[in-house]
Amino acid sequence: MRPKGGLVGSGMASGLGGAGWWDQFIESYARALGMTVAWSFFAPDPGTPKVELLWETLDSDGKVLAEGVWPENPDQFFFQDQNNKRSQLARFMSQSDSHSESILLAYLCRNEARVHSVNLSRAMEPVPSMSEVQAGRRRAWDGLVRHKVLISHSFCPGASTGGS
Amino acid sequence: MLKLGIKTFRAGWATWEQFWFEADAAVPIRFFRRSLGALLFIFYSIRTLDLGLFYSETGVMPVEVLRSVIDMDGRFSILFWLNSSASLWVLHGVFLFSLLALALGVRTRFAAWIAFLLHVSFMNRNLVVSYGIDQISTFFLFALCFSTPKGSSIFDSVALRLIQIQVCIIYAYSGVEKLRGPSWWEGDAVWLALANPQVARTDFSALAQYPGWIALLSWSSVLWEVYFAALVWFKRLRLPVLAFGVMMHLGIGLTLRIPFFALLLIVSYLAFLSPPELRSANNALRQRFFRK
Repeated sequence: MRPKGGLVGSGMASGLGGAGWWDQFIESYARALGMTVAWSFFAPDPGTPKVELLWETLDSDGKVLAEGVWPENPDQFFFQDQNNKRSQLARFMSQSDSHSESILLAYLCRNEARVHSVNLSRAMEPVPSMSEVQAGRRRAWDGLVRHKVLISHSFCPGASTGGS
Repeated sequence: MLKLGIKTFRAGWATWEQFWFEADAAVPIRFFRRSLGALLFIFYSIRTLDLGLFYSETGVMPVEVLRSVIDMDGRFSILFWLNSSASLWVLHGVFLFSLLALALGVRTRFAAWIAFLLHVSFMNRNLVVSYGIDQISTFFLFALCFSTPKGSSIFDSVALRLIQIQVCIIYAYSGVEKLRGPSWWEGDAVWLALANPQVARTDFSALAQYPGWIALLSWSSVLWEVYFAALVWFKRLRLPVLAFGVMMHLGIGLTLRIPFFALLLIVSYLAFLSPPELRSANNALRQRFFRK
């Protein structure tokens, strides 16, 4: 199911939908020019947890070909734009299992001809509270609390499912 | 009574006209255009490293997949039609070139239109990976499409006002949205950003020992954002309000992984400075770095 109103600016797009020709005109104009934006930086709360997608590609015999994490975060000391884009995509894919499958599963299958199926999981690390860190029970980046959920074990489009 | 009404209406109309069409825009718009062009040129040069991964048909988001996960009706991108690898590289090159032209002040109106159309094209080609700086740049580049090279026409006055009002809208909306978040009221919002490994630059665990400072930073940021749009128009308050913003964004740029977003908003403050302020700042910088 596609989200109506798009990724950014759902606020404006949904607020204007279907309320007369003027609203429709403004909405079309804003969408065409990439101006349907909701300005909610770090709002209402900045505490979006760290999200990663863990993947494992398998061949037709069920043998693991490769495994990895999205976002893989290329080493960028200062600029970080590459990391931000990858994190942005990870957050989008974590919104629904179908997004993860449509994007990451399809990409992994397309990338390597031998890939027959893919295991996808999602891992989230909630940000520790200040009191936990003050008490010495946690550190900000300790990764101690990690909620891991299996998204799917899916076959690549066109892969035969009979033999495995 | 009628006379008073007409007089008030005329005065209001004159103020309106003065505000939109008679702003002393020449110097601010030129400074803003050059700075924005230079900043975006550096920022989007980094995209070269991930061009194939995020924007090509062999990357993570072929157009068909994009359309299946996001409602793309009415969203335009030249890259939907020119989707070969060669076209992608050529369009990226043209985009960077147009930003460089803005930075150097060459054919600025033409460059702004090219930059705006290609910017929207790249953003819509993979909307999922666009974030703050991409979204804000759209509005700034659009406003610059109407500015003239010298910056002295009424179009430049309108462009300058659009940029200023856009900055006010961004802060007001963002500030009011924050008021809906419990962490901003409780004062630990800044901590939640600094303790997130996907947002912060390094482990800031030590700052948990200073909850009072964290709360002060959280509350002052929200207050400043909510009232920015009102306070920045008062002559006496303008510089302190902008100075607070510079400090806040420098802090964000140094501690969080969004340095370009922080710099973009600092660059936008050039639109709020008067021509003498900009000239003296420019002279001071020249003397400091070029010893002229």
